[in-house]
Amino acid sequence: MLEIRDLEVRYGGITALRGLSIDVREGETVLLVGANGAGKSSTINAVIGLVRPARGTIRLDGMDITAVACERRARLGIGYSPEGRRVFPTMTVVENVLSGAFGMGRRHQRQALDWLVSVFPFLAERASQPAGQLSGGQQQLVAIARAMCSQPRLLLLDEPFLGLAPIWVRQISEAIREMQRRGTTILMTEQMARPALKLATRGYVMRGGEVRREGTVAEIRDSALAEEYL
Amino acid sequence: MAPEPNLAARSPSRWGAQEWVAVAIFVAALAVPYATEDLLVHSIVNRVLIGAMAAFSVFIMLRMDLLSFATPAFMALGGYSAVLLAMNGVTEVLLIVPASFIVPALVALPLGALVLRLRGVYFVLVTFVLTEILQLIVFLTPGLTGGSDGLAGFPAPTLLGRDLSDAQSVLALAAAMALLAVVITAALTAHFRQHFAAIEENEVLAESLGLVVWRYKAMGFVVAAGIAGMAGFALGNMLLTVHPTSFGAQQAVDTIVYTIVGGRGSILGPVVGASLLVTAADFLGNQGQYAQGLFGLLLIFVTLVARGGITGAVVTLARRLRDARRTPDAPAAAASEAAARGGAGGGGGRGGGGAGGPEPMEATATGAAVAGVEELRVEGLTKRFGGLRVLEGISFTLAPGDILGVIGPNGAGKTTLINVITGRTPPSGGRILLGGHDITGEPTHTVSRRGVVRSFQQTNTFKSASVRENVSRALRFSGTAGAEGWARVAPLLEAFGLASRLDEQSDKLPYGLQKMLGLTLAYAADPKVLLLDEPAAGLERSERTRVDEFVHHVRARGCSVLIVEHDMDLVRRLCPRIIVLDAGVVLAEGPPAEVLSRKDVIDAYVGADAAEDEAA
Amino acid sequence: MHEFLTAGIIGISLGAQYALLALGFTLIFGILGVINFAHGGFYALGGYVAYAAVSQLGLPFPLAVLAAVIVTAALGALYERFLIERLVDDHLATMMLTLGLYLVISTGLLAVFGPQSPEFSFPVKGTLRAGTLYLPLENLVVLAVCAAAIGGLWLLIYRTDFGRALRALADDRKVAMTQGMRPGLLFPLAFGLATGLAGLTGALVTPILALSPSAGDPVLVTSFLTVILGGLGSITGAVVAAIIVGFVEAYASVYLGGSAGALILFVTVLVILLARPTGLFGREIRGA
Repeated sequence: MLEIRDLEVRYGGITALRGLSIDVREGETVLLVGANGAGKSSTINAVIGLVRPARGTIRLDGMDITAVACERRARLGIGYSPEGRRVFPTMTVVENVLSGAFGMGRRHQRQALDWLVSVFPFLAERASQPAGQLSGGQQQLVAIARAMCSQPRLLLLDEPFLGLAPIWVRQISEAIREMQRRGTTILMTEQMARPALKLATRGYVMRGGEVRREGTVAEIRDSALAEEYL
Repeated sequence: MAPEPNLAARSPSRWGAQEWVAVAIFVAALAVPYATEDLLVHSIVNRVLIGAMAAFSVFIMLRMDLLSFATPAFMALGGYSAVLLAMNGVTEVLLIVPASFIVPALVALPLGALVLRLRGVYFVLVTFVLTEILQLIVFLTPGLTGGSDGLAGFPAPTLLGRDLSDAQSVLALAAAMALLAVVITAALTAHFRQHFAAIEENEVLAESLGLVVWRYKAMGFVVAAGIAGMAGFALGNMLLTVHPTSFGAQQAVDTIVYTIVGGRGSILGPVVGASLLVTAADFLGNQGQYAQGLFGLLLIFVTLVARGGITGAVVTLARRLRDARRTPDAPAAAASEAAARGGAGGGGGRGGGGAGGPEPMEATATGAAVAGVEELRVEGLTKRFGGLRVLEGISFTLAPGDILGVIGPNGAGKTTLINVITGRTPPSGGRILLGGHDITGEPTHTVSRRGVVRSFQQTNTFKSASVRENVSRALRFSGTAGAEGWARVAPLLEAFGLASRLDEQSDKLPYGLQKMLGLTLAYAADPKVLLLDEPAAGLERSERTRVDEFVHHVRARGCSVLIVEHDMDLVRRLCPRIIVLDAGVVLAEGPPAEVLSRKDVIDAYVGADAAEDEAA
Repeated sequence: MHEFLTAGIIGISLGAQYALLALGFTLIFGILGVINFAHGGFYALGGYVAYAAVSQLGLPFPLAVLAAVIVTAALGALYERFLIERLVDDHLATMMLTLGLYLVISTGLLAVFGPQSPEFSFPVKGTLRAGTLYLPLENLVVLAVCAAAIGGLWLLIYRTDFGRALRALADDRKVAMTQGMRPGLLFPLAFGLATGLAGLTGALVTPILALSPSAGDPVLVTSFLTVILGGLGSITGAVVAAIIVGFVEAYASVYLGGSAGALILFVTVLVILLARPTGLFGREIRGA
């Protein structure tokens, strides 16, 4: 479904990705793990269009989207939950969620909201509270619900567990499972690799902007992980 | 070996050609009243002089990246003060001209303490409001200021008893005041060129190197107010009345237009802007309002096309012509640059210097006295943002010569720790002691002057300045300028390959070199304790040994170092002792080999199994 | 007592006008981060377009008002799209661009219509008697239109996809773009919406107050005051602050004299700016 070939990303003088190639097949949950600066977020940012790669191609269902503007990629069925949550702080919880389905019509928005509220009753409890006042875990849930609201075919999750207490890691994991049940393809990054590996079907270990190893969850063992980080 | 003698190049606070030309123009203006008796010329020249003076005030503020609409308010203060003195029998210009400078300057001093904390649009709005307030005060005090009638018919100023009411003297007085204004402006902006440029470009870095930013901002604000005050008096003297309508928002807009269109980058900008625009307005006929349309179009044009204004465009053009003439040299320069770039990228292939590691630096060490023997002690440091706990009860000691690594997952509070220690963020609790002296809550520049200096995670240099200028500013702001300072930095410049690129603009350097320059600047500030925020982030793997070189070098000179870093190889190499931060608390402390194999530390990085098991 | 009530009615009517003006101003700052010095220019332009439509084209007043809204909104949107958009993140540059536009608009009006105030009066005359109070009908019409426009704007900003997108862009432009919101399209629309509101106010109010090429000067000052008082970028704050400013102005002119009232307002605003730059109501549209 998603095909990244030979991707190179630079910020100013820094080369963040050097010739990265990754495949995500329909229905998979692919995890990118690696230490800080390994290039995980840069990969996600390139797929959603926040950075323009210096080289390489990104294909979605065979269509080359490398040059498609960021604002148009949501229309192609890509949902995105950014690193550090980044909910719209002055907007209410419901408005945040609905903004994920911008321009999709009221009927779709209402249906999606009903579904999301049934999955996460929390959204209804805090419906009209500004999202900026929520705790970190609540904000992360809102950010993921926002990404889910358009019912994307490909969901990008950048560090969904970052800085969260175990109870929230569990809740967020549940949200991700819900999307998996609906057949959504997921590409996620996570430093907290252990809980994330329980959700993934496959993974890539990254270091220095390159893929160091690729394999099934079993193949990316904890011992190998610790080695990459510490 | 070290190129010390020519490192510093020319004194950075010397007057340049532009300052001398500006002064020469105003000296020439002194002759105008005696060269012609054409009253039309007198009138235009007088208005140009006043416009330029007022524009100098805006120009000084723009040096600090502050757009001020308060110029007319200070003009009013100066104008009314001088006229009120004259009406009370003091007509001597040697008294009332200084008064027209000092009164607004004195008002600006406490005002500056309040308004200079604001930046960007908020500063603009506050100065706009100040001008409105001053006008309203005039309207409401008819007894003192004449209210909406203004003050007219005041006695003409005198010079040592000589009456100055004739047309020639009026213009000559304006020219003399304008000359004074340009000399003051040139002296201020040239002498503190580095300070203002640093404040405009990167206040945070300047402060971390020891610059007392507010002091220079206050100085600029006070002098700008005084110069505006003189312009206000000159205006009143020309119109034979001081009137509130002279000191409204319209005046502020005109003055700003003169400065921006003339060019905010050069002291000649206000002069050129006022000369051209006042004259142009005059030629558009006595319907002064039509000139406003021209001003508007010019403002839009300059903003879109020529950000440096007229003088900026001329300077750019001249530079291009000069470069065109120099083309024969260009290939050679490009080649040497390419070579240097290749060297930087290759890292390991850096030839003799690289292979030798820190040794060449040791060889050039100047034997400067080992910096103080003060330990940094942090006790129970706590920081909360609202309800969010970022740091909780952090304690550690950094003895002289220590190298301490601070690691932890994203969001653990590592950068906040550096911000709190260096006074950028006030702590919510706990103490920071340097050599037993409590420095908790001291401002960044004081902490820096005491010898606790940080580097920044992102490259942090004065981007538009050359390498030489960057180092020169760091030395000057930290109070260690002079040959001794350059001698301290020279080995580092040499080792990083910066010594041969002193005149290159810092943001044109390869990323790795920019980062090394950032470290060099921190060391230039003569620290006893260095706090490095991710010095290796973004560097090529092969370039990272330079961080090792740097740390070894400064440590050999008695500096203790705290390193926040994600590159565990680097941490293992450099730090005999590390601290692991997780969610704002110290999770572990000890030698890296021991700490990094602890289960709780690994869990902090890769996530605990337990969290998910509960869910299952 | 009569005096008190009459001043109150004038106050609320002034407050409604100021609210409409301040809303446009605050919208532009809140969403784009731009201080629009040309805001008063669009107000004056709206007045002149309406005047020209009535006097030259013989259009009925409501259509003339509509024409004013369309012209000012279109000019604003185009100016944003083709000039401001290029430098939208540079606050100094955008201030220069809007200041320049203001000078051009007011000079243009001067060149076309001359310095004299034209004969342009409100089509609805007379007073409404309520008990012993006489209410000028024109003020009531203005109040009604302003209230309707404020209500409409509120619905637009808080109850539609368009409004959500504008607020999302203000909060976090990059993330908003990843959700499919296009600043290249939405920013000009927001700018045009705001300048259209200024044009609407100008068309409605200048027949009652006065129409002149420099009619925008005091409008800009009042917008500044209101918006600082309410908090730059805050919609609720702008409305509440506008009503406060309206009342203070109305009562001060009766009991204190205009200048003293204005001075109190300005000093209050200065103190607020220094003590709490985000205003009484904080920032609502624009995140820190």
